[in-house]
Amino acid sequence: MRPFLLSHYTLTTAAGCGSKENLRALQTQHSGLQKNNFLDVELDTWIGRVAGLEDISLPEHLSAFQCRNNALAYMALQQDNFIASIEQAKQRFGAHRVGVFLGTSTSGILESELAYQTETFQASGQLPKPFYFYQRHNIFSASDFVRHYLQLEGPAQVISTACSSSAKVFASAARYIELGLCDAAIVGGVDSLCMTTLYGFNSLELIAQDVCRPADKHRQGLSIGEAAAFVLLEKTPQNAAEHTSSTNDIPVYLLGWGESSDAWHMSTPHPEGRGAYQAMQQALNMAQCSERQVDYVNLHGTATRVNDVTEDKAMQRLFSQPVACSSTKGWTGHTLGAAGAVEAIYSAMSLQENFMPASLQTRELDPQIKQNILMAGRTQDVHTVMTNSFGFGGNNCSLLFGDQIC
Amino acid sequence: MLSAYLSNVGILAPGLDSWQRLVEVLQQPENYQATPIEKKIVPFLPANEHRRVSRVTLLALAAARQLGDVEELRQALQIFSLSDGDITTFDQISRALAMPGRPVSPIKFHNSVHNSGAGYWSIATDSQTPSTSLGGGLQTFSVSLLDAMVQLNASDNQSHRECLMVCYDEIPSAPFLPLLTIKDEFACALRLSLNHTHPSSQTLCKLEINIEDCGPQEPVSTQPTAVDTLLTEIINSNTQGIALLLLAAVARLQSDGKARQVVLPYFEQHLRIKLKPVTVC
Repeated sequence: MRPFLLSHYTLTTAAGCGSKENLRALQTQHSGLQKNNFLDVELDTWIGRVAGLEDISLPEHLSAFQCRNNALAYMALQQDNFIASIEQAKQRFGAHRVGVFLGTSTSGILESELAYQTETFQASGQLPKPFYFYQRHNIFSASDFVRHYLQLEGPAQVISTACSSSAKVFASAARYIELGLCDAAIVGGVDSLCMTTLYGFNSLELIAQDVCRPADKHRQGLSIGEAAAFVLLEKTPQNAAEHTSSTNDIPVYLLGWGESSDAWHMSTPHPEGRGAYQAMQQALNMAQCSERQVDYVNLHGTATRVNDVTEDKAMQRLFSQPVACSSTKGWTGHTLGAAGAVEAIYSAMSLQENFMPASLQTRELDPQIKQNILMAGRTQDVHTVMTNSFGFGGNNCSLLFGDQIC
Repeated sequence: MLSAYLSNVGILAPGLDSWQRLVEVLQQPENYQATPIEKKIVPFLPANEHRRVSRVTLLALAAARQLGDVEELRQALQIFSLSDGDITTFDQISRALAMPGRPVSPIKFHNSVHNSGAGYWSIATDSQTPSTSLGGGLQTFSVSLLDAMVQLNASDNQSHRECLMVCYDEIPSAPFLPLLTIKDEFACALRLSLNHTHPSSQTLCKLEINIEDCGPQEPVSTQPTAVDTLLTEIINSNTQGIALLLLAAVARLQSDGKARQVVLPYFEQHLRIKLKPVTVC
């Protein structure tokens, strides 16, 4: 399979609105995490909350889609001239040849959660009318909204495999393109703060009171975040060099991916990271790339003890020598169904800027971790980057990106 | 055009608990009774998991279990698709969130993820293959079927010759019941393979699928038969019920050996599915 080109991207996270702000945050080590101030949630924790989201109104003809998740998608789409790049793709290929493949874990369920808290619901047990279930609550809502907003008519889906959702969409869209079902696709992820995830992770005792500190000896667990990240993925042009000379940017290619299941536990990874290992190994195999060629790994790195240690064990098995790596969740928090796409874009930035971000918030390294966790950002040539995403249900996905075709 | 072979079908819906039963009902629709699915679904998971798992996941697992031997199925790619998610669990969590102290159950929380059915399947069968959980709103069945064909035919999946695809949705909990079109439970499972030389089960037919601009071209019969009426009733009772358009065509092909076509809606376009008999060499 020929690699696929990431021809355009944008993202909005707690660390910044658009690519430039996110890159600056990575380079200046400016975290987007803040003390929890979300609604009346009383948990003593930190969150990665996107500023200004409450003020976003969707265009009037799409008001049925109005919810925090779609507002976040809408906000992100306005940045980085992303819409212009989609309009060009529509002109080149036709609206029915541009697909939409998004990942989310909770879609717009916050709307329904809030409806349950109203006096009306408490008294009558009935949801308010009109209640836009399919446009807001339903898991497909994000792709449905993006298709309507950008007037796209190609293949579409939402993948919802918890925290690996928006990594897997890269593989899925690439297959549709390979098989000729579309010529290009918007791939990405959108997940927004809601009470189910905050209280749910709290019930599993996985939420930190402190900021999340990936790979730190004294880590306490997660900080939950929200984000939207979108990439325009397309076939690599026959003459790839032509593309680079016309844009001046270093090109970023999706070289390979690996997907696997732990088949172990619903909410705990396999103790030896067997599924994680398989996913990483498959991504390398597909790209026909040696483990020695990987310059940097953007870790899943949630800052729960069990995730950090099992991910490291899987990497010890795969890499003959410790590899430079870091988790970027110290900037964004764990953005769940959006994390795969956010970290895919951070990986692209690493390739284009020749920069490896530090493991922000990590103070004292856990001696159990054997990989080379970057305690400071590093500027050096970066040609191949791997990024990991592992989710509930034991669902794993690793993506491999490079600045040249292997 | 993407092609694959359909080697087995699982189904769980009121009055339908196996492929064989569906074939019988299509032959003699007058004998059909919409007997509700048993409250207790046959355990397939270890007792401690079975106790934790929610109804909608049990539906999916029961339909998937009909597809054959677990030792074979655990090698297959996994696709689990539902439109509305585990809405009973959502309802329970949301009620807890409206209570003082917001006592959310950790088990309900991990059951609430869209890929809960897939997760329990992989644990129960020790299947480590890639697993995808999809949503496509009211077109979830079409989205899922196309994705299964794509995954089987994609060059990166050449080591996986089989795929199991499960489509299911449950009866929504009370607050959502008036809002949604779903009135009854429905789960179906398809076992698809790239080759038709399968060791234990006979191939039902070959499927060829295309995305097309044009809509259905078959003449609409003015006088619906008893089977048409019955199918319409089930199709209207659950988002995934539209699977019966395909499954009924498979059953007819099985009885008369004739190729036929089914057209399913797919957003602004359509999926044209050609069903062809398999000639045994």
